[in-house]
Amino acid sequence: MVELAKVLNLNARVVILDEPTSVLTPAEAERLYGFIRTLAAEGKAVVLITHKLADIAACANRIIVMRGGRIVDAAPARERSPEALVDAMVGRGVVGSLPVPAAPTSHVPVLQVRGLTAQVQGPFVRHVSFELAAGEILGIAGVSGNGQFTLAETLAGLVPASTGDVVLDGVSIASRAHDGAIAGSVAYIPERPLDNAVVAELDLALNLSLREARRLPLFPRRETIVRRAEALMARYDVRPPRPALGASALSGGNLQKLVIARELSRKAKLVIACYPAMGLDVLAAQAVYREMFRQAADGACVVWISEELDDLLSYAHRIAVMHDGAIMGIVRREDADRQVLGRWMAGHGRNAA
Amino acid sequence: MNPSTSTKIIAVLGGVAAFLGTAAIFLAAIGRPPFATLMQMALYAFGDSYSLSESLVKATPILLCALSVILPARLGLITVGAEGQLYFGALTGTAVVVSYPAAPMIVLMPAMLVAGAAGGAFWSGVAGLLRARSNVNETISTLLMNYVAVLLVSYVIYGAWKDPTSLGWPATIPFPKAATVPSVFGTRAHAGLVVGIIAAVILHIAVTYARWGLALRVLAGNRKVASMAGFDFNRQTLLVMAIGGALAGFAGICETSAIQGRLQAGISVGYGLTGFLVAWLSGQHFLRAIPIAVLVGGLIAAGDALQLYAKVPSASATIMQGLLFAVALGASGLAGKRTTRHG
Repeated sequence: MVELAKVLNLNARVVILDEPTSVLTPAEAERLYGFIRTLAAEGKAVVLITHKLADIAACANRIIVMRGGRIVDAAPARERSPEALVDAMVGRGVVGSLPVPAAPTSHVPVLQVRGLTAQVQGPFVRHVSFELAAGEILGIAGVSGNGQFTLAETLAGLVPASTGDVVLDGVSIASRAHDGAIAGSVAYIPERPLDNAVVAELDLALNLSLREARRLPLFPRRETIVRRAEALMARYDVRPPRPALGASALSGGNLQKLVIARELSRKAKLVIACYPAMGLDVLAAQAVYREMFRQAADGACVVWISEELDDLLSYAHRIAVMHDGAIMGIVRREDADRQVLGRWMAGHGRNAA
Repeated sequence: MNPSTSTKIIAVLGGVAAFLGTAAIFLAAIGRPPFATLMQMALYAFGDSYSLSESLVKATPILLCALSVILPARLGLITVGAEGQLYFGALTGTAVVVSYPAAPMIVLMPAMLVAGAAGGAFWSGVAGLLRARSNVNETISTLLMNYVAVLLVSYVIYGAWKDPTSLGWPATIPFPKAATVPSVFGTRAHAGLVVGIIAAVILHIAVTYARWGLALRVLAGNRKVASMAGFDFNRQTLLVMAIGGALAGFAGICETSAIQGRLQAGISVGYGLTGFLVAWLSGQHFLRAIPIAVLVGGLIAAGDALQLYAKVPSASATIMQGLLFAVALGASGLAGKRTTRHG
């Protein structure tokens, strides 16, 4: 709030705010809305970058929706309903024409998430509960920034749950990543791979070996690691296929392929994928989806976080919608209705359907 | 950020030249012939076997303390606690000697050395535990614990452990022969130096080629990814702090036993801090720390000799040491900047 007050006192003619309300309490946000409206009334231009529909409803005269670096919609604010905005924000899907994953054969829950609450500076997860059977794919839809990433990190055991538990195959895995209990059985594809999935200071060969790192011999042989890396990079089409390169030398898309090669090339019990197709072209995205569905066919529980609603509607067995850290509802694919999902994403109609 | 070899060489040569230049200016300023005095210093440091042995005596604790800083640095931890660990190791090692002064060498010597290393490991491990459990900044905690350790040593040598026959001089009983770390190469340089060099080589191999080194690099690089790989930051924090502390504690008990021959105040003339600076000069590299520690040891020894024979004030050696560090850090900083700009 102090930072904001300083900026607002600068007497600037153009004010740009990037996700200003993400660190504010609702009451502070209300005051900020007041400031913004005052600025506008004084004839100043205000650009408010946000993913919160409440910010838009409170302040905006005009709305521009950006997705993947492009403007996908621009209109006066009163001409767009929250549902229409969500529709524009989440995209239409990148991949068609893959075989639809077969329904899981068993209904015994393998992954149980019970009353999970977690918080990491701002984004959060509130009382999330669901169960997944072996081979089941749960799509998690929603406008990004509504707690999906924190949910993924909590499921992967990287962020401690403040309450609740994550049980995989009868074993609690919440906040236990570092003791090695789950390093072998969980595959995790985080968002922003350079920050969250690789060590920028290490080369690609070592980055590819990380999931096996604890089982490497005391003195790992460099050739073994490099040969394994070369095979993986060829299979997953990581370019350039040079294991000695540093991780920061790869493009975003190739880095994502590298992470997928590491995480999905071995059999996992739980796959957590955060926007796995982000930054990939259609062919690469298809390849990623195929690997993910193959894991499901081999009996893994798949938690698939995506903004591409059509992809989720085509391939996920069930779809949950996250808004403001909570799950608004979970539906089976057959019963899913875009209108209902859209309302949930906009934060309306919890417990509907 | 990866300085090329030529840039490194330029940095080293530039640093040496800049050091000689500033040292000459300083000597001229205090009214000494700069060139002759510098030549004399080189002779006092490495000119004959006696000078060389004195330089190695100084280099030994500096090297061990530098290693105790480098290992935590590989995990991304910055510790400045070598001085306190050295004192605490001296304290715990001496505890064995004053308790069983008549024990045979085969028991007393290993017990004393192990107790010294364990004391250092404990002192450093406390800071490691605070960091692991409560996220207490290890730089601050090690810094503050330095004072505690030094004062604890004062407390025992003025009190319970004071030698009644020492006529009021605050020191413990002289160490018996069975508790005197042997010297090597027929000089005053003692076995601690050999241990330091072996430790540097072992640690270098371990962090460069072993799986453990990968764990440290991953943990230092990206804590979250390290978690995914199953590496535990807290455990490694405790481990590197304890190993580092053991080395510094070992330096402390060796210094007490081989050089002082008793526990008294001033066993270390800033070896901990000097070790910290050597660690930084070496770029947190175990092997590079060896020659740098010897050079710095030589500078300190030469300073002592200069004070004795050339009647240069005692502070001037410290000043020249300060000049060396300032110039060397400045030179490597400038070289790094150059590389960043071009690369």
